[in-house]
Amino acid sequence: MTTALLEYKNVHKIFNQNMVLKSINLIIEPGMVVGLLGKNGAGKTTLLRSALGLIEIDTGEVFTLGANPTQLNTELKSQVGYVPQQAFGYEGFSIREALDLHSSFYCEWDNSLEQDWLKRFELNPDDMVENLSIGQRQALALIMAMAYRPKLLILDEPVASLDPIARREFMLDLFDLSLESGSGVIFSTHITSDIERVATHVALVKDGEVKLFNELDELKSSIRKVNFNPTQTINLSQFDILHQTTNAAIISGYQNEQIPDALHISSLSLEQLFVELHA
Amino acid sequence: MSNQIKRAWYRGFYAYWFKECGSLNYLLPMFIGVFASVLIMIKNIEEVLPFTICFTSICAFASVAWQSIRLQATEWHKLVPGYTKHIVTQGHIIIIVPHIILICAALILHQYHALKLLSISTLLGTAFYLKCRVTSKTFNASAYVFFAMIGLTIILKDIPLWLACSAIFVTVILILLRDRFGSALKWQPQALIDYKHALQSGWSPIPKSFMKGYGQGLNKFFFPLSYFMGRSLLQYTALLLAIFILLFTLNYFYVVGQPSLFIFANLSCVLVFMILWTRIQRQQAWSTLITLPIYSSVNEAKQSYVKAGEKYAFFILLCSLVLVGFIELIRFESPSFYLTAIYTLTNSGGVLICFAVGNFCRKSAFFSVALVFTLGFVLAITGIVVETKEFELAHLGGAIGYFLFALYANRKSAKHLYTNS
Repeated sequence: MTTALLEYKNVHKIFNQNMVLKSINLIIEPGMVVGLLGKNGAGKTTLLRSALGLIEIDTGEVFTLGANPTQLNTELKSQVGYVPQQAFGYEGFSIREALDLHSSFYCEWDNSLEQDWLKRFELNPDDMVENLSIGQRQALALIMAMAYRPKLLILDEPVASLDPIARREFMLDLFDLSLESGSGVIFSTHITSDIERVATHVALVKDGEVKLFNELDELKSSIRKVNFNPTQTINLSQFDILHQTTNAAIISGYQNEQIPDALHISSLSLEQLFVELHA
Repeated sequence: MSNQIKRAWYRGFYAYWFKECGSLNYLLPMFIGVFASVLIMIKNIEEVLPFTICFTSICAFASVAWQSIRLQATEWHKLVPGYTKHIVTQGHIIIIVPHIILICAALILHQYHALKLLSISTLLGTAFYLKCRVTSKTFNASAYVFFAMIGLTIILKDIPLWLACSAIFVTVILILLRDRFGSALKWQPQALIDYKHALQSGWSPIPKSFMKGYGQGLNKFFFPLSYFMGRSLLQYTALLLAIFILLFTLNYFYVVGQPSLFIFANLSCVLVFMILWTRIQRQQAWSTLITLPIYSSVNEAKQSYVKAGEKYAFFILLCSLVLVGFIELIRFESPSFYLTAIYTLTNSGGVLICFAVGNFCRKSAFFSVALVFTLGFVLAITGIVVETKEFELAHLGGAIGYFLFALYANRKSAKHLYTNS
């Protein structure tokens, strides 16, 4: 049995009387690349921050590398990489100075990986951090979080500000890195094509709840949209109903069986699923 | 071998503390303060020593307190093993070294009064820093801490030994119990808001909501200065007017001519510093300003900005004229109004010089350094004017020349204004 890199057990969190995380149960194991998909305010960032001990949960348990995230020791910290949504902290430094200081905190820092990614993201080491564009800052934050090859990588919308080419290359690197070193990755995004390109698993978050968590291929093959006549009753009890309107339902657990009274059964892309669930 | 073992305490020190304009704003005066304090102890100028010593001490604490806000705003800092400790160690070195220099100088030069002053400023600084480590909002009150410290140096002419000893005792207690005041340096989203607001507003001591919904006419009059400053321009102007009225009233009842003139000159320049600081932090706003239909070119927008600076200088000129004219009228037996003319011209000239230097600066860090020296120069000139007993026609000629030069420099600085577009 593999040890979970990150585990959420029935986690709840309330902010200003709003439940922002509801009954979260998730397990991230080595080799998994989990794409966290959800609208703005769905609770993705809170979910990720709670795995780092930045936010304390109200009930349930979170285990990051087997430990309480609010009490990670030095050894465990050096196995976790994190890229926040807003890269901040190295104002006043040049890229070279920032990397020089940052690398000094990690004994596993890979200088050749650092150099490769500096070239790939076309970052000039002499540029000042405060003069970088949002995308360049994000790229620098990614290098800082990944150059020591952490076991668990937590990325909060890591590629939102990168150009399409840098985004595509980075996502593939992310996947390779995870495969090579047996790391686990969890990243939040709005960009469904990124998830489809690299994620092994998808977690769909809506209103603080994980509505779906499954392997990407499994998810694609088992999710269907079923259209039916609104005047007739349709029996969908053998499936998980993710969303239902008067004439259609999104179901999970479909295995190519016949559904009586269904007018049309269609498969959905991840983007279509996302849109349908939020319709 | 672990990288952590190889890391020296000074790694990243220069970039973290000296290339971030926020902490540089405090560190630079601190260095000047240490140098000036030692020099003053050697020269034995007792009147100025309390101010320079306390100012140096508070600057050291303020720079470290400021960086503690930055740490609280940095989401990842506690996740990087050893990072927080590394930065905090550097901060403690920044606090300890200038204090050790001052203590040694005081002991060697037998300035024991300086030691008593240091005990008070250290207590105030320590309390402020420890509070800032827990609550980032506390730093918004930094200006009041500075004012309080300056006020104390005036009130506490001779600090009793028991008070100094008590201050040391309380400081030690505070340090020992520091972990009981709450989670220090914990990441909090509010800290980034506080950090950015403080940087953009120039550490404004005025509450954000002060005079909300007022002053449209004034904003139009000072446009586009008000465009960069927003409500802060009105707030600073109101503050300056309040101080002007206070000093005016004080002079009616008491003889406080010289200090009030020096205070007014100081505050005029400091408020201009804040105005300029806000503008330099909102450099991006130029791109929107120059697209407004009221300007047909970038140059026209720049000229308009420089003229708004002149209007502000004339506002200072008017206040200075009324204040010093009133002092001369009621306090001098046969007023010649030389002081009125010279002070008015040098004070408003100083304001224009600050504007001109500010217009030449593109980067915050360079701006900080340039303005600290400019403020020193401008206030030294005003100080000489205030201290002068007898005036001659030549002095007036010099003041007119100084004012005209400042006016010319401000006009010329227009084409050097950096619009970031």
